[in-house]
Amino acid sequence: MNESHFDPKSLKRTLKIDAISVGIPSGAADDFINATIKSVEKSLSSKTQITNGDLERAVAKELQKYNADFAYVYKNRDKIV
Amino acid sequence: MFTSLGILILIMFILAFLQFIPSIFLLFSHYAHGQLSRKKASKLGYIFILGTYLGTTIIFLLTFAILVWSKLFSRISPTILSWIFSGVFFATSLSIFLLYYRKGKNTRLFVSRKLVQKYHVNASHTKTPSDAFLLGFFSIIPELIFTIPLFACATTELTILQTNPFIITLYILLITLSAIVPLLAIQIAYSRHSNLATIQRFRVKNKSFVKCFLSLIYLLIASIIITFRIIS
Repeated sequence: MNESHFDPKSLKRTLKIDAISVGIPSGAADDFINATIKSVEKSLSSKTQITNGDLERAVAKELQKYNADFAYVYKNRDKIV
Repeated sequence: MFTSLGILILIMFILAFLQFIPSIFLLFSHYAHGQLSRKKASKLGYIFILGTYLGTTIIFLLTFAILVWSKLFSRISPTILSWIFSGVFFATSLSIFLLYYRKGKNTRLFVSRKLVQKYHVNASHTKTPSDAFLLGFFSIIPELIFTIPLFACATTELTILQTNPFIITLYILLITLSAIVPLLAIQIAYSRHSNLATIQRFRVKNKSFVKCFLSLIYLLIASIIITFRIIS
């Protein structure tokens, strides 16, 4: 089980690149990302140990509410090659 | 003449359908469009494609030069050479069908994960023309296991087909163009405001077709060699 150190800054940076690349305007991307990170922090706050899988699922679930392509890219970026 | 042309055309199809370089290019385009302006990302994309084209051409020319100048092929009987090629292509056909893609709803290839991670990191940090060129150039390395036997076979067919070095070079330049066709398709898709999600969904949907098609083409080349170079 891979334990994750949740780093909001690093996640924000990665998500911003994904958002711009799928065509979401910068302002909207910031709003989506901040809302996502807030929701993820809230949903994972009850857990004592957070795995990479937990984090990915929580983030993808939140992103899906805003843009399907954005969520797809986040989930599948490591499955291209 | 038609047998040689047929084999060369089939080799071009294989080069166009191999998936490692298009995967790296897709990742690179995704990061470039996410970090740079659309114009700059597009420009870097073309430079990447140029790097890939030059790299593939250099490998083909080197393979041709080494095989022709060393007179390696003239020391081996044509029948044995044909059996070697057909054996290699039969084995490659089977390997591609069974092992080319990893399991799952993705387009992960049977390549070392550490190597893939290195290319992924490089693709995400490529922001200058020289980096884009080098990434394109060195992306050909993991596919050498497929391309070198193809280029060796193409060398024998070219030497049967043509003796003029200038025309042989033109054929080589034309054949290696097929390696950049999928990259140009991705570049055009991005210029039409497509993104990694839409392109990747298309690739996942057609993954089985690509695997079967590649496998079949290799089998076809092997069959043609046996039929027209050995039996006849």
